[in-house]
Amino acid sequence: MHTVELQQVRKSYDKFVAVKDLSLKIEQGSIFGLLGPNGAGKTSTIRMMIGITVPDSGQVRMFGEPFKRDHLKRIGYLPETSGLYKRMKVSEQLVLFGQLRGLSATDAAARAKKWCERMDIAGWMDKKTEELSKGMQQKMQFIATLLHEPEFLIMDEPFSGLDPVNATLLKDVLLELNKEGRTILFSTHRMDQVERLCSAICLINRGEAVLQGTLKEIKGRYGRSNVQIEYEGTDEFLRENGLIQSFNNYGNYVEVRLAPGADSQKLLHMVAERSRVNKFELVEPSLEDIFIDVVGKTDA
Amino acid sequence: MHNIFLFARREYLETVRKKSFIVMTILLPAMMFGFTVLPSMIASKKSTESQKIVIATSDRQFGDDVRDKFMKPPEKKVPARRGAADASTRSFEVQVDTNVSPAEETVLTAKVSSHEIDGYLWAPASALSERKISYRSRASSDFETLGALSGAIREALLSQSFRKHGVPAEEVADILKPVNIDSKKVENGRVTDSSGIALFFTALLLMILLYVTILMYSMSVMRSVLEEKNSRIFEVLLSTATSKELMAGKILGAAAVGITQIAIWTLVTAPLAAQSISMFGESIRLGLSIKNMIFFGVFFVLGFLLYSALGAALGSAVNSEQEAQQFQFVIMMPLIVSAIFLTPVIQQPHSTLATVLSLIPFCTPLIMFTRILVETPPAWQIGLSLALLVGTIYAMLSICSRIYRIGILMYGKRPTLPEIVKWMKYA
Repeated sequence: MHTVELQQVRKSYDKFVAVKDLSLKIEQGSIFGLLGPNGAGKTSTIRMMIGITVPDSGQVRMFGEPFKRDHLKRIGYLPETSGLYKRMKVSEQLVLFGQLRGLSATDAAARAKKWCERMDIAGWMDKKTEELSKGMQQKMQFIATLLHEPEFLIMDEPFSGLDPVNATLLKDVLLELNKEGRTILFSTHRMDQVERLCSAICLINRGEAVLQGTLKEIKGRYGRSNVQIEYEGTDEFLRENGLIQSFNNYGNYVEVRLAPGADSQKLLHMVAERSRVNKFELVEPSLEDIFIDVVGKTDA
Repeated sequence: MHNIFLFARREYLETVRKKSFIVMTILLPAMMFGFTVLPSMIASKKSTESQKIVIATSDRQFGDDVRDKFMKPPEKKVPARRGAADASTRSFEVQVDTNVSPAEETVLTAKVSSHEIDGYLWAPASALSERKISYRSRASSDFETLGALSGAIREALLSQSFRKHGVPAEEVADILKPVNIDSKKVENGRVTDSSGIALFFTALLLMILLYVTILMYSMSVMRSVLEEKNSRIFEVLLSTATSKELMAGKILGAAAVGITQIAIWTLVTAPLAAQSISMFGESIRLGLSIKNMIFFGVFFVLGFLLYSALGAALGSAVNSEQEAQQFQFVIMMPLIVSAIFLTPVIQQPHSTLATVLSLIPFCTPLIMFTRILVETPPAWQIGLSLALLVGTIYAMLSICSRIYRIGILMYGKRPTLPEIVKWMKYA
């Protein structure tokens, strides 16, 4: 069964079309990545999934049936920017959010306490929300999303503002929730962050899906056509001949995308002639590379 | 319903815990006390000092007459005019000077400058016949003294001329007896005890209360919506509740705050209100019957709901506090109009102007309530105004929740009026 199914969904604001006939399916129990640059239409898409806006055309299906407001009790939504009342106490606010999703006050309070301990902000429950750091507020928002134990979690840029320790904590919790069978949707422009988490993705640009499928399938499609080279000396070879289609210089190493049909061994020889090669490895392209590649083609 | 309650409670608790609520609760009654009661208290204090006045006139009889009339305490009039009696506690020392030579004029002027006397009445025979008497003092704008003097002079001149025509002294006194009109309100075919002037001030006082609280809380609702919009909290809220619920909760919460505030004020001022307050030389009893209290509550709550809905719509249509300020006149305008027309409405609560104004929903809370207070309008008018008010509130709520719903999802760009109109049509 699919947790979410969008069928030819379209949304425009005045003359600007934010989402153009987008179709996608999110498998129940999967971790799905909705990826794309800023302004691609990710948040607009999510808003239609949770009924904040209504699509101009197309259909949104949730849990196998057309969307209805009742579904919201089974969904948890973490918005991109902090959506919290600043002057409310942390504990009161969490209880309010729990109640809004149908929990009793006592239930909500007990769950809030449990989660605050888990997320390491139990000591802050009696403080006003505005006294918390940005990272702590993000964790608080995260808890508010989970209190009612939703089957489907929508995470819009969940790691923004979190240090590596807290980002790991959040990721671990999410993986655990996924193991329990909950479906998770990541929406982000930081593709490297979700690459390791997602089983399926949908890349969107300018409101349109440009690439969809399971991660394995997509990467397979592109093959091991990338080469990572660590070298000392001149980088002249990068500006050579027809072997290289594009490259990305990271300073310590360079990632090269081979031209179609080019032989990697030829490139190795050429680099070795002029520079000292410390590492030469054939790798799968990163999502980011694939995205740049796809978007570059569609934009051209 | 459950969500509306949750939002209302949140809004209520947050506002009531704010410092501004506590400050306002204390400050507003204090200010009103300061503006109304304090000046007359100070005024009556000042008058315990006695003023020295000289009447310079060549006519000894006239001088004595003026002095007697001036010094004579006014007759006790109706009990309600205790304030006037208070004013007469100002004590005067009056001397009559029959020397009206230019030299004496210089001497008297010098005495005024040196604070020996407070002023002198310059009335030589020529001035008397021309009725052009002058009073010279350091405080030329002491209208109270001037008024009393002018009355005394007029009476003195009248008695003089009566005497000339041979009218007996008792008869003269009887003729000159002042006339008092005691204004009483007729209600339900009975003459009631409440005086017109008391009603005027009661209306004024309650109007200020209504005006200030409605203005203040509609602005507060506006800011609260703006805050939700800017912090994007509505995204989370709208993923669990509808914009109508959010809006209704917010406005009901604000109304509950207003009721709390009025309740606190009523409890605190109830013992005071039972006492008469001396104001502008009038002793006033705040004449508030139970019926009027109920009407006050009804109009207060309805006015509150209407203007809060307006505030919420404004808050959702703008992007920043600065922008919001430019649109505040939308809220203030009908309130100001009501305030401007308050006096004509009080004076002629039955006029076409008053009737029309009281039926315009945005003016109803203030104007209709004032009319009820001054002179109970026909029941159908009260009923119609209430129906219109409730209808407008409902329409505002549904329009506002649309603006709210769409306005909060649009950032950065300030909506134009046609766009807002479009949003209203958009479901």
